[in-house]
Amino acid sequence: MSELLVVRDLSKEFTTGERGKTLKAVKNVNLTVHEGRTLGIVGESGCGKSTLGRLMIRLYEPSSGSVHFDGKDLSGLSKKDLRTERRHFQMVFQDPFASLDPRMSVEQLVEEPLVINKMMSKEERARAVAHACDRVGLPEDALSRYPHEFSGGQRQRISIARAIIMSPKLIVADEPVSALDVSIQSQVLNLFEDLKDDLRLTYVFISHDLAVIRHIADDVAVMYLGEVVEYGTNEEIFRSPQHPYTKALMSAVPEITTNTSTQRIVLEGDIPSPINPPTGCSFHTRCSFAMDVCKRLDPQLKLFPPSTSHEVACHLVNEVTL
Amino acid sequence: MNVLDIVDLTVGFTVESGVSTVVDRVSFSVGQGEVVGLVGESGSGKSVTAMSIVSLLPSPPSQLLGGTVALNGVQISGLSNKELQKVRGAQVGFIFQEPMTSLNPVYTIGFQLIEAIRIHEKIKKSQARERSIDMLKRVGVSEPEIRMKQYPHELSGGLRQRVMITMAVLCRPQLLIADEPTTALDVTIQAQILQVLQGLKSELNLSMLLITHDLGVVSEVCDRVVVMYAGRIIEEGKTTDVLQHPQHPYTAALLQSSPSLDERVKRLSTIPGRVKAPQDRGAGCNFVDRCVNASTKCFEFEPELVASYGSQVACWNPVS
Repeated sequence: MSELLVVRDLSKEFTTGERGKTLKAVKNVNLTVHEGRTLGIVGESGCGKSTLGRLMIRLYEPSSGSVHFDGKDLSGLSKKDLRTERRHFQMVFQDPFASLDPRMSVEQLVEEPLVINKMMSKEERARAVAHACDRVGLPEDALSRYPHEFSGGQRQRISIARAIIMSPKLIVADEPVSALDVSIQSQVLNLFEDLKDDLRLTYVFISHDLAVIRHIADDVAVMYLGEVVEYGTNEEIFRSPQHPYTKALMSAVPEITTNTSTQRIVLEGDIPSPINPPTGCSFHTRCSFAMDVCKRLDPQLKLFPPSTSHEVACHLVNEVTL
Repeated sequence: MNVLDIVDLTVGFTVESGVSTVVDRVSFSVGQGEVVGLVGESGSGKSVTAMSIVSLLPSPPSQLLGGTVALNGVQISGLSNKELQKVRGAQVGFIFQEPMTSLNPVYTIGFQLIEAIRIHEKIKKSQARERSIDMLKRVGVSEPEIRMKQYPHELSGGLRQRVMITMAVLCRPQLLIADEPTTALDVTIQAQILQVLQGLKSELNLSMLLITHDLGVVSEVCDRVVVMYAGRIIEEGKTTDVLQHPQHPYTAALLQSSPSLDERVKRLSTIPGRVKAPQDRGAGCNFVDRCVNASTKCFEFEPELVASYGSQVACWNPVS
């Protein structure tokens, strides 16, 4: 299992309207995306998951840290080299209404990435477009039609066709099914999985929906206020979550069960502002287990033995296991 | 007596080619102290149904084509707008999905809460203020005196939704209609808001109609559930009955296609195709082209809601 994307100490700060104040959207994130696997990034609004996704493919310039894709340091690349490299990683966005140019036909939309990269002859491109559209399950007559003629689910298929036509190695999908109804969501999730197997793709799948991440991800990173607070395989995160935030997040998901007696952890208060994050562990203001040390020291991600993949950033967990 | 009785509600919208029916002969009731979930996907007609209860949709383009709505046995459909104003807010409280667009950005929270009371009741400003602060406390707003002086943009999404809830229950309505009240919120905040709603239900003896697309939310808070598809009710019954033993193939398929935290399935089951547009709905069952149980009868005759194992189902070939 080779490492396709390696993120080291990645941080991103945005300047805010107020002078001298910065918003730390992503703080010292270390993650590895393995070839052929799906990394799920989950967290609530403002946790930095989308910023991280964009940093990964250098849609944003990082404030510090590095991203290596297939062994190459992306941050060192010139604009021209970056454009060549971008063929290998594509992005699918949440809102298929906003991410497709309404004045372009489906054929033009799906062909556009090839045209921009000056790839193939006209005939070859037409064949590739037809093939990509067929592959994502768009009807044959779709090519000459425009985005507004399609439903949300079909539009998301157009976005996916645009992404796969470049034969990428990696697709970063940012909330790609969040705007869709449940019955359509399952169709699109299945399409993502089929494409992954057929085209040997690797995914970074960003979502606020734990059930979606549970279904699609092989590895999971849980984010809170710009930091990864827990990381592990799907089973590790969902079967034995360790971080109090992960536990609370999971217990907050309303599930269809007969068992109504399960004790719910309801977190108090709101997510603090990333402009004025709490000292120490950023979760301590809402954590019912917070100790003195949590207010002072920011816990680091540490391996949770005996697992060799499960990592947790929590003083309580790290202390007990030491 | 039921708090809300809807009988054969039919609502249409004027379109270029005529009138398109989006809610078709919908009948259900909400009992005293009961929480009823109205579920369905986009275009099922659930929001139009809810909005039509107190005529909140602009007309034109919307049109009440038939049916009646009664509150505590008193018919309110057909009332003039002026008469309806007395019902809205006082007898029926409303919570919408997006609290930011429902609150006025240029007035303080306090101004808007006090105004909501004084529209319906002749009481002193100071009394209205007191009651507002008391109600803010009850829905779990910290430091209510400070919040009263703040503007909507100064509050987080969760707090704004709490303010909306406060406003909706200030005049002690008998019925609270909540249209996707937690959809725009993060899951940890959603849990807080659901807890608040459940608390209010027992404290104020509220009856509630909760419109949602989330079957998990229904499972958590609703006593009974009404499932809509393409403008019609296709199944109705006790929440546990409907969610554990769905009888309509659509309800069953919807439950199966939702990913779950507990179990990880290799492949999600899907419902092929999509909802028929209102103008394409004709004779027969509206779900027929997506249904695994479809037979010739389903194409020709529309099934009516009939009692079945304690629930009501509109299907010729229900799931056994």
